[in-house]
Amino acid sequence: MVKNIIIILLALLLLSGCTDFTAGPRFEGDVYAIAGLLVAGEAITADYPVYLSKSADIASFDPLDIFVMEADIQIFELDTGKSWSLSPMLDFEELKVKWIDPARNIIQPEHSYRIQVQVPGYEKLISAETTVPPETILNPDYYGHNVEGEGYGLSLQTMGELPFDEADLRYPLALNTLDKAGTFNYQAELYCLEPFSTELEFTTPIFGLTHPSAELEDAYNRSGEGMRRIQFMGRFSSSVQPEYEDSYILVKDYRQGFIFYGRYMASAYIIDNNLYRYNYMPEGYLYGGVHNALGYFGSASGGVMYVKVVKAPVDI
Amino acid sequence: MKYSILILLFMISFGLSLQAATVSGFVTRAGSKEPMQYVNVHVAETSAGMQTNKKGYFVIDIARPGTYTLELSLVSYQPLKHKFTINVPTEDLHLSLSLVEAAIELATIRVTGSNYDEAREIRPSLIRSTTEDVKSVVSPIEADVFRAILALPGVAPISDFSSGLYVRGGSPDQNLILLDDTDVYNPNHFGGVFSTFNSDAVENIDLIKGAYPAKYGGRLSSVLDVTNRQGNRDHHQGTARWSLISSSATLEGPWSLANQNGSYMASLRRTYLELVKVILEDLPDYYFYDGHFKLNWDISPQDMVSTSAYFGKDRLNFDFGSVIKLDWGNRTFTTQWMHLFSPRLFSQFVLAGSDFTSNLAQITSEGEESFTRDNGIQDFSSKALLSYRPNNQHQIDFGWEVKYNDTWLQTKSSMQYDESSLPDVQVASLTSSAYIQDTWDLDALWSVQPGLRGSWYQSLDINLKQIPKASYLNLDPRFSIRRKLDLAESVYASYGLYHQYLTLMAADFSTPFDVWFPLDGSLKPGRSHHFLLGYKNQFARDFAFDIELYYKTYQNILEYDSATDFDWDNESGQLADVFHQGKGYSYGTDILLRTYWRGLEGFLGLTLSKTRRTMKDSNIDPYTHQAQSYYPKYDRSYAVSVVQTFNLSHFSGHKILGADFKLGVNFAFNSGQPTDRPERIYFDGEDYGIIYSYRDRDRLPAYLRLDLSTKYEWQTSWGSIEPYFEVINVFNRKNVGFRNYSIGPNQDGELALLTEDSGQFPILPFIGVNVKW
Repeated sequence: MVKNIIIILLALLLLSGCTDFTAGPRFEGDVYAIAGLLVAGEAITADYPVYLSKSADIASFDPLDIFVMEADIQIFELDTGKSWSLSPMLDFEELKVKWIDPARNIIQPEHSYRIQVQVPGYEKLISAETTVPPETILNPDYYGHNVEGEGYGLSLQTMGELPFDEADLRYPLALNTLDKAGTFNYQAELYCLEPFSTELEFTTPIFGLTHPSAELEDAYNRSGEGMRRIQFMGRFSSSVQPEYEDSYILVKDYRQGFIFYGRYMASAYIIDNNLYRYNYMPEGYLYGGVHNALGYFGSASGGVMYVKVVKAPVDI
Repeated sequence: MKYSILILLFMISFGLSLQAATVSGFVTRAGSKEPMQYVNVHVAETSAGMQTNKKGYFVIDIARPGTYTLELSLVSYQPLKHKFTINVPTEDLHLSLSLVEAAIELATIRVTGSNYDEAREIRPSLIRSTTEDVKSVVSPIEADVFRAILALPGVAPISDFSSGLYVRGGSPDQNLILLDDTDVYNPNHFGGVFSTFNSDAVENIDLIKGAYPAKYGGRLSSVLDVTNRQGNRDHHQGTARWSLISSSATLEGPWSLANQNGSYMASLRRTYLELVKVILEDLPDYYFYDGHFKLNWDISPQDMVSTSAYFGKDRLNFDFGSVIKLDWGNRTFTTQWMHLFSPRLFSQFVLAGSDFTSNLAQITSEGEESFTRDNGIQDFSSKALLSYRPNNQHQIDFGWEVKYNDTWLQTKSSMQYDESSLPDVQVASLTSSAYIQDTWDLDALWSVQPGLRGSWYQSLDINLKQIPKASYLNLDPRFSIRRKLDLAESVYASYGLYHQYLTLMAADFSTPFDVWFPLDGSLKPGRSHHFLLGYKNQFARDFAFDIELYYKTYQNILEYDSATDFDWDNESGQLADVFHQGKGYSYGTDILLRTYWRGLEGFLGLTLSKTRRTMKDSNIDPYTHQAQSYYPKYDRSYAVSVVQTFNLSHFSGHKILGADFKLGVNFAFNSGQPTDRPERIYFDGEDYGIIYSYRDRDRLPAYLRLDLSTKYEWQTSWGSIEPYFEVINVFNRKNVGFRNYSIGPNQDGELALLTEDSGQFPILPFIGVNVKW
């Protein structure tokens, strides 16, 4: 009897081992995705374009084929009833197809916009709507130190230096929401502009290491958040600060986001719910507000600034 | 009418039996006088018998005066025959008996006693392990209770770095984990290598993988019932262990004050990774310590009081400009009064407290707290566990429990976060329950075990006004039936209904920062039906075979929605916002072959199983937005385990270098865990992004690991010395714990889909020494 049981069990084991017990494919045919971020005060240009991508099969992934060039993309400004078309532009340097607004219509804070995309051969209408957050101004020198060569600049050419130890206390990330106080979806990012090198130096030694090893290069250059790109996000409150009459979102403790010494791009935005959900939800591309496609159609208000984080204190 | 007749039959049956004599008593271990649980006790002349309970107690009816022989047996112990005489039909004879560990005769070693379960209770899905069983499982660094449990069939490990127990398709939050009858809420140290329980301090571990009896409730999946050792009542003794990163010491012995006496046990353990860090800087700033204590007071043969306590704390610091300080730990405290109202009525009254706290703080270089997260759960319980044995055909277990839970999660930040987005929640609850169960031997072959557990759950204080209060009343029937096919062969079937009122906010991977919360009115209690069919056969003196088929359904089960980290609102949130709710099922077969043959002790296990879940708003079809069912990460189509210790000296009859030489093997071969995989690619505005498949589109490669250990045991005049050497993952197989995908340049510099596997244990050698005196 025991022998029979063992034979049956071995047969069951073999059958179990031969069966995958896995799900079938999730997607069928072409999958379209939008990546559209409207920035208050800017037009939809090569700097702030809309992307339309198509993917059929990951096995035949070709980065050049992913961008869709043939489509009809319309933007509707719902508050005014105005609408305009976007045109494809091939960016030869980046090898991307960007959809831009040749008329350079400026995106207005607190206005709502709708995008409609019709792709030949794709029977569904792709659409999404967003409401742009209120106007904001990123203040590079909140305390008004006004020291030449020190602190953030609004371009690479005008950036100064900051000693790591007091970077955030002396120069907080300060986003001025003007007369708008309250709760906003806030997103900030510190991006190291230095190319990878084993000469890069950690601002704080990690497990005794002061320089990254060559094995970290892939991780450094990988897309998404990592040691090169530190993001933080959440619902933040903007309130009137003692130093100013306007309301501010102030972040005074962020220097741990500078993983290496070197040049950085720092950005701070308040963002709409589409982009917020896209960023925080697992599989955010399903929650970015886009119908009949994936991705996001969101909007933001804020800015970008630059700084070089240095080791030794600057002479101030 | 039918019920009245049944009740009448019960009363007649009980009434008749109460006129019989009884033989009762406690069985202890010779040499230490510690109570021995689960010893088979029976009267040779009448074949009436039972197993001792967790306190070592037994009681058997004797119908007529006369001289009888009581036979006691337990594997690895010399059988004992004790003659006794009953003079009058109403006599209650109380005995104190001791079992002696089997003497080892080299070359002719026989494991004596019987392993066959002669328990009156029908105990489906029960796997019982002693301290020695735990220590025989090869584990990284040191023997560990959870590592030993994870090797059992029906228990799926999810990673080498997690000791979360996934039992027959259940998640770790669905396991009731008890230490001396006290709930332990998060029994893990950092990294999953160590569990909360120090194996030196533990007497016995019962894992009940399903259809557990009415005594237990409040969880959907399984019960892990751990009992601390009482300590040696005969003489003082100690055990010390040293390994590369941890040490432990255990002391135990008798105490005597005036005319009172009892025993004590204390066990302490600490890691010292910070010392190793002096040599190897590439280590986190981490340590933990824990301690088990137990004090027993033997007031009289009818009354014993014991107090036990556990505490443990982990501390972990990361310095990256700011310092992140994390600490977490459990504390438990239990006082138990064991009282014999009569030889037939055994009782145990428990007052227990347990808490688990985890705290995280980010400290700026100026020494200010820029972020804190404090979480905890407190438990105050009182229980009464009674067992009434009116005659040899019935054993009625009954009791009640009142449990008060207080939980909190408080987050603060010096940043300008919207205060309502930082969780500040405190919920208290009260769960009252009562149970009754009769184990009824219908005749020599058939036994039934009907049971019922009733529970009333109420949420009490909730600090957020909008959270609805909960009040749930449930009756959970339990039923088992067994037919003996032979002396050591039986077949059984069981059914049970289970409810759960606690939730755990945990990601895929168990961590010490998982958060327990009692249900609020926005969620229904979890509900599970268990069905079992089992067969047991000790087909040879040294081999036992168990097979169980099981089917479990799950309703109102919960899975933490990680999006809550970003969209929680103290002013409108409730628990239903925090979880994906769903249902599921699991079924499968667990097979266990135990061996006790010529120095070869251990088991071979095989599990064939299937687990499915459907969780709302999770794993959705992108076209219909409907949730799709899936195989969760802990689904295992098959799992093979071999855990054996081979005592070469016992087998060959020769000592090696004057010592016993033991070889330990722990082999695991499991089907790969379900995982998603990239299906499409899109451009996200800055980079190429990956669009993923369903959560179970793929399976990671099968998991295979072989661990080996060698141990010498030198017996000396004052104790023993046991140096050991072990190697984890002997084949250095690159088992995959998690597969990460990204888009980046390949070796040719072209953009491509890249794959990176996070590893499990590599080949790891360990040395250490145990000293007993």
